[in-house]
Amino acid sequence: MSLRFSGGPYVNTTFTTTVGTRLEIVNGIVSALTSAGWSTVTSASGTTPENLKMNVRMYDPGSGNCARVQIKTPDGYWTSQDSWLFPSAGRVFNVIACPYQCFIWTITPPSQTSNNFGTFLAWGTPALPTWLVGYTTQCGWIKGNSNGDSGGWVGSWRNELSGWSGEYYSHWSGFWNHEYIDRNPANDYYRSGDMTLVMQGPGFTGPAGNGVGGWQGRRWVDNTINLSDPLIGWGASAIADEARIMGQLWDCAIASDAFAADLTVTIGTHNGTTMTNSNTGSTASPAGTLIVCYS
Amino acid sequence: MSLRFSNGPYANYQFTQATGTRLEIMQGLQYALNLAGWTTISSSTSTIIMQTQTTPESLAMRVKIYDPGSGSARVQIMNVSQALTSGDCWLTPAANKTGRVVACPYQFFIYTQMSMYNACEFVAAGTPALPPWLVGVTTECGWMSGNAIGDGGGLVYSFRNGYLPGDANYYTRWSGFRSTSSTSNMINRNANDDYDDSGDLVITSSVPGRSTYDEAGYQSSWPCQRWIDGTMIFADTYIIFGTTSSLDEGKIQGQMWDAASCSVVFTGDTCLNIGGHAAIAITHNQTSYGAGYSGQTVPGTLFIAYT
Repeated sequence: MSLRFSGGPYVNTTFTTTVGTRLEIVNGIVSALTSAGWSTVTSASGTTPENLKMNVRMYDPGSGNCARVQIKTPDGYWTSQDSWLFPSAGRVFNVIACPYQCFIWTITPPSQTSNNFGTFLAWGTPALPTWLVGYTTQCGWIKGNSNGDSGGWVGSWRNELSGWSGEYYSHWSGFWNHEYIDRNPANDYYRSGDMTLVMQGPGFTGPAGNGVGGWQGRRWVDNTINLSDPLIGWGASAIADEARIMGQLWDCAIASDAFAADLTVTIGTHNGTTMTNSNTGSTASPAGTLIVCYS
Repeated sequence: MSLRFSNGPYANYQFTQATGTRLEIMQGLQYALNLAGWTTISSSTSTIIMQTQTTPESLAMRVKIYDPGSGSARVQIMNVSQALTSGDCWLTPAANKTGRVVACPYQFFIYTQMSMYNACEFVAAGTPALPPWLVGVTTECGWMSGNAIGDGGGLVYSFRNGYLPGDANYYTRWSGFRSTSSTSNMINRNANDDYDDSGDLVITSSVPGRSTYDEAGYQSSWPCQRWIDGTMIFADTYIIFGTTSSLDEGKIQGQMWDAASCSVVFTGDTCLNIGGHAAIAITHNQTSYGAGYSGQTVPGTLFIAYT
C-alpha cells in the first residue's frame, strides 16, 4: 500500500462547549461532519472509493455527563455501544474530519492524561487494498478514551499506537461485514483481538540495555523520519479472535519516532497534526506517532 | 519504499563438502558468488577476495574468504579500497556437510539447514539498496552477520532465528560500515554476555502497536499478522545499526535486497512466491522470543528471493 489521502473536503476546526452541555457537542460534531462531506441520515459518511461507508449517531441521552456517539452499519442492522465526550463550560474540542473519518480531542485538558475521560474519540471506515474490494462489504471502527459516562479514563491513540495505556483498560468497537464487536474491559489484559494500529518498525521491541535507549530504527541514517502506512486491525467478532488487518486509516501516517502531540507537520503537500503524545515505546509497544492530515 | 529486487543474476546453490576442508567452503562460496555476478578480485588456496556488482545507487563492497590454517574458514567484509576490514565470521567445515548459498549481485546468505541450532554455520553479508535521498550521501555501506562468537563454538542467534541477530543470552556477532564524503566507520560487534546495544543490528518488519497477553498476564504474541482475508504482510526489510558504535542510536542504513519481512511464521527453507519471485524462508519458526535486555522479537519470517 502507500499513504491514502481522501482528497477532502477536509475539516480542521474547533468548537467550544460554551455552557457545557451535551447538545453543544452533538451540534459541534454535526457541523464539522457536514462540512467534511458527511450526509445527515442520522449522519452517514461519504462512500469510499472501495464502496465502504458507515453511519454514526451522536446523541444527548437526556441525563448524565456526556454526549454519546455510536457507529452503525450502513444497513442499520448493528449499532455499537456508546462512546462518550464530556462537555464542560469553555472546553474546546478539536476536530479533524474527512468524508470517511473523524478525530475529536481536547488539548486542554490533555486527552492523553489519566482522569481526562471523555476527551478523545475517533471513528471511520477504512481504505482498502485492491484485493479486499468486494470481499469487505462494510467496515467501521470507533475508539474512545473513556469506559463510562462518569469516569474510567482509558488510553487512546493519544498515548500509543495500540490505543491502549497500561495493560488493563480500553474502549473500542468495530464491524466487518456481518461480524461485530464491542470492547469495554475493566481490568483485563490486552488480548489477541484488541484493536491496534500497525506500523513498519524494528523486529525487536524495547529499549536497549546499553547505549542511548529507545527503540531502534526510528530514523534513517540522515535523520529522515520513517513514515509507514497506518494499518488498523482487530478481532472480527470476539476478543479471543486473532486480530486481523481490516484496512488503513485515511489521511494518516505513522512516524516511527516519538513527538509531542499537537505539533503541525507537513507530509509532502499535506498538512497534519501529531495525534500521539511522546510515545517513546516500551518492551511491549513500539515507539511512534500517529499523524492525522487535514489537507 | 517498496520491496527492492536486484533482478539477478541469482544463485540458489547447494554444495556438499567431500572431505570437510576450509578450502571446500571457500570455493563453494566463490562459485556461488560468481554465479550471482560477483567479481573475483584475487584468488588463492588461502585467500579469496570478491567484490559485489555496483548497485543502482553506486554502492559496492568486498568480501574476503580465507583459510587461517586451522579451525573454521573465515569471512570478512571490506570496503572497496580495503581500508575498512571487519572482524571474522566463521564457517566450520565437515565431511558430507551441505551448505546453501542464496546470492544476488549485492548480497549473499550461506548456511546449513540446521544453522539455527549450530554455531559457525551461518553468514550473511551485503551492501544495501538506498532510498533516493541517500544517494550520494551514503557512499559506501556494508553489513555482515554470523551465528558464532568465535571459532569452534558459541552459538548466537542469526536471521535464521529472528529479526534480531542476537538472543536472550546476550550474544551477537555482526559488523557494519558506512562512509560519506567526510566520514568512514566500521563497527565490529562480538558481544559475549552483554546486553543488547541501542546500535545493534536489527531488521524491520510490520509491527503492531502492542504485544498481546495471555490469560495469565504474560506477553504471548503479536496481533495482526494477516489481513482479514488471510493475506500475509510482506514488509520492506530495512537494515538498522549504529553509525559509529553499537552504543549509538540504531538508524536505518538501507534496505536488504530481494528481501521481505513476512508477518507470518514459517519453517526455515519453506519456499513461496512473492510477486513472481521465488523466495526461501531464512528464518525458522520465529514465533517471538525474549531477547537482550528486556524486549521481544516480533514474530515473522525473513524471505530472500532467488529469482
